[in-house]
Amino acid sequence: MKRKHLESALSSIQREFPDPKITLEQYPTSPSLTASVILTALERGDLGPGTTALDLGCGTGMLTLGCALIETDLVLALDCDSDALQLAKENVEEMELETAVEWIHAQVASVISSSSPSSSTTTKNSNKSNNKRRFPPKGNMIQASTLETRQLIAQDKDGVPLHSRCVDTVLTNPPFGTKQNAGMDLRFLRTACRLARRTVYSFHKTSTRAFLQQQVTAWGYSFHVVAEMQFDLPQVYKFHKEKSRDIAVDLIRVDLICMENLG
Amino acid sequence: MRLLTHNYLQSNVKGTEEGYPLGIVPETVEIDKSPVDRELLLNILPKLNYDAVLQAVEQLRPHCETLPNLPSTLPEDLDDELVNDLYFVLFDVHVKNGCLVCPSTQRKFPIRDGIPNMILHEDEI
Repeated sequence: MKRKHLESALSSIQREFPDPKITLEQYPTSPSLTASVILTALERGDLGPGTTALDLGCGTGMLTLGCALIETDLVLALDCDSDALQLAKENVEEMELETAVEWIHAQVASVISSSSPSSSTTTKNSNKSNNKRRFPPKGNMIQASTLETRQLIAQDKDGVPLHSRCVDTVLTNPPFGTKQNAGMDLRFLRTACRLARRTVYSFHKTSTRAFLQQQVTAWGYSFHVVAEMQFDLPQVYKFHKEKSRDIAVDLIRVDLICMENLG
Repeated sequence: MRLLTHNYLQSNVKGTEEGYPLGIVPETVEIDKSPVDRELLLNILPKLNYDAVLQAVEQLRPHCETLPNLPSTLPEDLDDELVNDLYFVLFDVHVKNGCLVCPSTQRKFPIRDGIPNMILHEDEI
């Protein structure tokens, strides 16, 4: 599908949150950004016919719609806000697409507990406790510790009621973890890595790149910055003083199949 | 909610030993017939737990007389009729209202307007 057709279709829906909720950091993903991710993923065989996808934190459904427009076999869309979910559902239904799109009302927990007590993380201590796996031991132990971490991730109790590795690709534009939400961007990324078989596409502040790269690498996956972009966060909330604010954002791709980190 | 989605859903409530597959208690079921896409069906079938599909179909049967009978195991080659039946069951049957039930704790998750509500209470995480 041509980029301009995709962008035009994405622009035609009601993408603004009618009453954005501050604590959830709600703002829409722009049609242009959405088209970029979708077409990049399509090119790499991560989306489109023959694949299944999940939009984690779908909001008004931009990424969901993008996946559906390029005829992904099945698109699951999950959000904790029933108002956003309702709007997203209406948006997609208006397009009358043949793609199967399914909606789930669920929430990524702000505290993830995993089976090993030492690796449980909390929003306050997230930076400190995650550093425990910073430098995996060398030699033959690399493989064992990475697989162990992957198994731990597979058993995470992250509040999301889906099997591990249930879809090929997870796309997410997560909350960036400001104010009360600190650490949510990592939560989303980790949950996304649990749910995907093949790849994860996610947006994160460029300022967090080094930290995220270290985390994802310690999990045994490969982390690549696909594009650097500027998010023009509009004056979504009345208390924002500036009209809009540019934030440097990375589009990252995590490859879950690539074994380069194992031995 | 299609049976496709049901196939991936599980209960993650704290202390649940086996939260899969979820039972389905239907109130409203709608059929929306769509053209069968054989290739799509064959692509998606290996990504599903077939036993859970069978179980779900049986739970919907009292509510939905047109549900086909499916074999207890899938043959290596699927003839057209079986492809059509599987496609129908997975893509065309929508549980609009009802609930999902955790097999381990019996915790109910409501389905409203086709959307299952799996939000956990604070003490369940």
